Amino acid sequence: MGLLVGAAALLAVALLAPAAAADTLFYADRLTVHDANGRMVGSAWPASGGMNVIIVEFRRGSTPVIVGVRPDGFIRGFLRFPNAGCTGQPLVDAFWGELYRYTAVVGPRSTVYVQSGAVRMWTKRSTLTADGRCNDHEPSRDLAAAVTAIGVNLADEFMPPFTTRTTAGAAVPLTAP
Amino acid sequence: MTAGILFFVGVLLLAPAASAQGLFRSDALVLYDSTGKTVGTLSQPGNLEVVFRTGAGRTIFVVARAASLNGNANLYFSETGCSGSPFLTRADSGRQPSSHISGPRQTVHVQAGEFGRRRMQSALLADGRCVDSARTSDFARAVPAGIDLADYFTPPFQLRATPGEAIPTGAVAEPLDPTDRLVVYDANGKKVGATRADGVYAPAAAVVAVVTASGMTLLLTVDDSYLSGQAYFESTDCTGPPFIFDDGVGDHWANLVPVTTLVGPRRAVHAPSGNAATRTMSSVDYGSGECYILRNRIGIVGQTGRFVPLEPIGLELADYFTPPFTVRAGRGTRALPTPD
Repeated sequence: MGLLVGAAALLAVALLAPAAAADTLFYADRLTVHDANGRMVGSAWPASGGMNVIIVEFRRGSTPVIVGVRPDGFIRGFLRFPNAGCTGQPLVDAFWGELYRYTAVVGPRSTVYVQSGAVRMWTKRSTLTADGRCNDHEPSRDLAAAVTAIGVNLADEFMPPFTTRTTAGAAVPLTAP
Repeated sequence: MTAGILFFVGVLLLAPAASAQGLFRSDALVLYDSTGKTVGTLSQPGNLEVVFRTGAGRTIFVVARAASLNGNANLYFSETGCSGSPFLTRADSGRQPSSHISGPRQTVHVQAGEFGRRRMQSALLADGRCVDSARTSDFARAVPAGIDLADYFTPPFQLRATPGEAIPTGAVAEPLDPTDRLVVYDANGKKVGATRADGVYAPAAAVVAVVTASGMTLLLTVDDSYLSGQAYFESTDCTGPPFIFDDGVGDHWANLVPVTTLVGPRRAVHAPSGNAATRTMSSVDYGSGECYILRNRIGIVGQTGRFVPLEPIGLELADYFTPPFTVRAGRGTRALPTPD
């Protein structure tokens, strides 16, 4: 009798347990980026980006504002200016067509700029770097788009380090033996 | 009788001008295994990452290929012969935790500590082989996740877009729906379909998944002024039978979707119709409306390589979409924080 019970228990374990797995697998149904205070920066679902960057999509009205996020902060770009000393109309290089309206996240406070003028040829005489330094340079004439700060400083809203979180959805069924 | 004639006339009026089959938007791009089981939802450019969570609360990032599921990092050991403690490299994608999948059972190792400078002596390859390989770099301690993906999924894997609403032909303006995230629109205010921003593609191009009436998944690469897709020709003026470069076939979305390309000003969808052979091509059309003459390294017209002939599948995207294209964000995308 005891032998039968033991054999039945072994059979039950063999049938119910995953073949070689001590843990179980679930579909993830969310992937979100959170700041050091646990505040959600945004959704990164389905996973997008690459090369040390995760992409979080925002919008300003119906204009997409695509922000690259790394664990230590937001990916920041640079601005061009038509005058020396980073004065005059802020510009961004516009070499990539016009599928998306041009946006930029610039400076130590990760200030958001959104395209405010048509793509056209501009003469650029200075550049505001990602960390907020201004470099004057020889004039160069290239395609650019006028951008305007919209009063949003992402670094004022979200504090690094940033981490990703998932939530579990349905359990992944085991393969039939 | 009258009803029958009216129905027939209606079908004629609604039918695409030159396309023999219809086109559907996609609600999701899903990776399936060979048994038809869902592996996961993927983003809609080229990122082939699937995300899982384990019962123990660990997140696992998996990179899909047609023949296997792969981790996002390499697995090393502190001693030779893959003995001692296991450690993981940083993922190329930058995702944490790092993961590694190896061996015939697709055994998962996952990051279980912080990265620090360490010296390793051997590495376990994805195929389960161990190679002694001394390396000093950033490594994080790894643990077996207690998951063998072979218990769950059976290769090969395939991407399929889930068909949603039918796409009408002609100029039909469509508003953003309340749940829309990023949507590609054409010049007539008509939706091409949903897209996901990607660090590699945006802002130059977007990838949109659509499904044909026959169930074929097409991943459209949308430039601002045209639908991208290259076709090669033996002529110098992009006329005659089109071909696709064989390397493009071999790496077409990691072999997870059927190989297709677009040909000519009507952006006719074509699929391979034969085997690769060595041929000399003299022109190429990327879809921009320009025909580029191909020259070899010494400037003579013609480039020789392995090319595959193409045939039309009966679908012309010019029936559906009119360039230029733009991307709009719907309310499914999070609004930027409002300044205080």
